Amino acid sequence: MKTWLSLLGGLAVWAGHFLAAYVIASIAEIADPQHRQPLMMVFVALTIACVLAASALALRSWRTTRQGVFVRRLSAFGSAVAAVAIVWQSLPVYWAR
Amino acid sequence: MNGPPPASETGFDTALYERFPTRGRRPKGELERLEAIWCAPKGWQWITVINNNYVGVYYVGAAMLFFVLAGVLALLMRTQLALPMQGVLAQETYNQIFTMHGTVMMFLFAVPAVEALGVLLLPQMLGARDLPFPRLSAYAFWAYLIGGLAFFCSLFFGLAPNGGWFMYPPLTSMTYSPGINADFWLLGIGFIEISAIAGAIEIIVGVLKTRAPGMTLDKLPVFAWAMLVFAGMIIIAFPSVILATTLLELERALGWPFFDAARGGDPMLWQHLFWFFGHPEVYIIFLPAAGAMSTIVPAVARTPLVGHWMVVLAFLATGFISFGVWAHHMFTTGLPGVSIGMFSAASMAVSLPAGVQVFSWIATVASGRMKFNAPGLFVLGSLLIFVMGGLTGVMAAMVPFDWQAHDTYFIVAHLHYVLIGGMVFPLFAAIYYWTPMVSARPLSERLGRWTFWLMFAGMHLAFLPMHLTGLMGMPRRVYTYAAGRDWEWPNLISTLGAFVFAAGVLIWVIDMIRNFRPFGTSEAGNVYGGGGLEWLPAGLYSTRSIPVVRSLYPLWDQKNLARDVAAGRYFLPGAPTGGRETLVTSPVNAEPQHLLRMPVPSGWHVWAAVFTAGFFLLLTVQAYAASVLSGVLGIACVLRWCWFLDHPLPQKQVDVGAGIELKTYASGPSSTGWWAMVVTLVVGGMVLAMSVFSYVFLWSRNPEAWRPPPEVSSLVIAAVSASVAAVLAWLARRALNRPWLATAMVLAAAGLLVLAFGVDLSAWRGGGLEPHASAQGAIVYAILSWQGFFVAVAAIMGLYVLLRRLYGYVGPDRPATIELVGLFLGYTAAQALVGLCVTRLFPGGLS
Ligand code: HEM
Ligand SMILES: [Cu+2]
Repeated sequence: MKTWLSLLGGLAVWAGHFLAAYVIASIAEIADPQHRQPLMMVFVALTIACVLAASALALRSWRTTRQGVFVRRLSAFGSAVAAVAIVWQSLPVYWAR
Repeated sequence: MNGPPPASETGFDTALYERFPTRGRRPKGELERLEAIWCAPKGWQWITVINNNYVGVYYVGAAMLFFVLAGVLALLMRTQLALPMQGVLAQETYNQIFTMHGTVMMFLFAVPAVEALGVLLLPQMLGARDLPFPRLSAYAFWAYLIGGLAFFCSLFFGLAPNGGWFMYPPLTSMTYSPGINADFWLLGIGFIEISAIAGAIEIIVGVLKTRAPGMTLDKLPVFAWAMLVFAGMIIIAFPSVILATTLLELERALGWPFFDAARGGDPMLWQHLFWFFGHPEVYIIFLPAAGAMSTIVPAVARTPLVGHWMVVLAFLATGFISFGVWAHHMFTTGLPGVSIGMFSAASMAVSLPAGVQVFSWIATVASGRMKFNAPGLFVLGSLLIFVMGGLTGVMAAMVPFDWQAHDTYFIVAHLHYVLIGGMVFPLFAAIYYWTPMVSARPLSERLGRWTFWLMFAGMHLAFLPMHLTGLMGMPRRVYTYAAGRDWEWPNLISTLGAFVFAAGVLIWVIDMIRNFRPFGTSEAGNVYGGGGLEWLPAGLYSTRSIPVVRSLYPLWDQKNLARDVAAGRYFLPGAPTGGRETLVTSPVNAEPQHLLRMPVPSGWHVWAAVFTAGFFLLLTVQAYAASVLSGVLGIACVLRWCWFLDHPLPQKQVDVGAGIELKTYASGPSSTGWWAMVVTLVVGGMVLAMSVFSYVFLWSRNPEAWRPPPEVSSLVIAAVSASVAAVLAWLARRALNRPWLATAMVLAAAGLLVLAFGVDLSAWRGGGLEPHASAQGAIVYAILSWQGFFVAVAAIMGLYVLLRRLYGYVGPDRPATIELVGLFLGYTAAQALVGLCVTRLFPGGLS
């Protein structure tokens, strides 16, 4: 189980962030204009949290000694890529403000 | 990055692997017994056969049949479009033909073909005697074949669907498509998706649980990795289309307005549900093809795959990202700007993993000594075509460009470049590469070259000009065009190219007829020098013994492996329990866990497939009574098939080789049945999740029109009964020492679920919400129906357990059945609670 978590954890954080971003964007679409600002704050906080989580996962999987090289590489790079991807997919949201 | 070796996963002492290869002679008659147990079919057994060596070949064959059939339809279309204002096909016929071409290619060829490849190859690649549920794959195959043929035949009666392969309402609603054509699509495709899911469950459990000992994740063949991600994506994506087809069918048959804007529905809901499935579908098709490429490239280049771990990571990343891009098919529908930006960003990102794979293949080819044999040519052709398709794809991912190219021939060109480059050419490479594994003769190199060059040239001739016709403004899905717009030449060339392509396919068919000799006692063997276990000498029992794997390319790196395996010097050299069996290993490190006894052929799964297909087909032609009868018979067959499962063997523990003893019975997370049930429940959960999405989506379109839910008392009763049911289901497994008590608990849990469902249903009906009056009514009753289906299955399971108890088949020595039924009941209870909370508390309960 642990192995799968480290293999898929970073990517799962990415997926969760994407889902949340989609939900928030959809809510913003039908919400009162005055609620847009707080929604944006929620989104920024969420993005930071997700980037941190993915980076932490990357570091942890790199350092662990319980796994073989292959799983460590895969987990570490997967989570690192996820962290970058989270930033990437948030950009349009900031721009579209 | 070197450290101590990874710890044991299951407590199995991996030092025991050192006992292999064993020395000394194997007992006399052992091999003969193995052959007798895994004997070839005779007479009718050719139909009831469940050995993957047969079912896999049937399965690939059926998929290729549909490829040819859909190809003939393409030729008809191209003939019609060769010149302006032709009269080969009437407008309505053309509509049916392009719909059938797209649908058959996507649903009856592409997905089944790669799934079939998995069923055929995986057992040998993983070193298993067979996949863990051979009857399930056979069922999936028969359901697919019968359902697919019936679906295709609708064309001959002018009843074929005509709304395009993505069937957008309102065009496909009752108003604009009054015939049963659309119903054929909805029920036919819905049904075939079920068979695809059955195959996916088999593949997931097979890859995770039936690998050769020592085949840790880093030694898992790339193809198996690809199939694992592929199957996982099916489990997540297909429920969405199953829900979509069900909802549209409900709207058509019963008038529940999910997509009808006049009554509060929204056609955009279809697009969301369809593309949440549809885009991952594209990657679902590519992944196994990429897995095959990553296996064939090293073999023809005679060197290990460069960047193996990056390719695996690319598979995983593709699996995730492809779920974040569905809305790029909807750029022109007026989505909110922010979402469009996000989807566009993800669509560009999804090309990165594909790029990683392409670079890895190119690097492998460059670092090895490439042989330009038939598989090698197809591999290179695929690379070239796929890259070209990818480039136009990136163009279409730019929103402003897509606004121009949307629904023109540019898109037709793009989609064929990616599909043919990403899936058809790799598939042909795979067919040429792996034929020697199943056939007594390899396919002809000379004919193979002809096939390749004709297909390659024809493909470019046909589709390159379409970019141009598209940019010149020719819309897709038109049955003809007027002269004088400069569209004549490109169209004529396209038609010519299509026929050149077809000539290539024809030569391949001839090659198959001349050289394909499966099911024999000998195989051509490893003519391309591959390094995977599938090239070990094998019979119908797969390999004589199951090797300990110490490398990603065991045949290249482990000396004398083939000889020792064939001499029975590894795991399971015989059949210690006297029946068909295979090793079950742990999902990460592939440590042996127990011995799985496998079924022998019987007709029940075939009948089950016939009757399930009958149920859906009869429903389509509105023969309701016959349909219900067929459904009941189908359920009876499935129950009969399950009846023989879960019986402990007299030998509790056996020697699986070199004195290593394993149990012959398992339950819980180490067993294959547990995994299959959990994956099945994930499918159910995904349908539920997509229903909840639909619920919220429909509400957000029209919040004022939603009425408050019925009174709270019914909610409380239903919620409490469901919760108690969950607890009972959990307890039953623990009460097995008193079999009657356990049985009673299961029955009580099922009864409570029925009660909860009944209370909820009657409350809504009492409250006056009508399913056909509003979108709220439609979606609430849809969620109720989904729950009703689970409750009905739960009730049947309860009776089944009772029956088993009466026969004395419930007891502490066989916990699996009760455990799996318990899981199902527990899930059904949870689903009831989610459904209740959503429909009762949102949005009504919040205000
Ligand atoms: C050389 C072989 C093929 C030819 C000549 C061909 C030809 C065509 C043509 C002319 C159309 C456009 C119909 C129209 O918009 O009016 C079309 C559509 C389509 N084709 Fe193909 N095709 C070929 C192979 C394939 C393959 C291998 C696949 C999938 C694996 C495929 C999937 C589709 C799909 C999904 C559509 C869209 C159908 C729709 O608009 O609903 N085709 N094809
Ligand atoms: Cu897409």
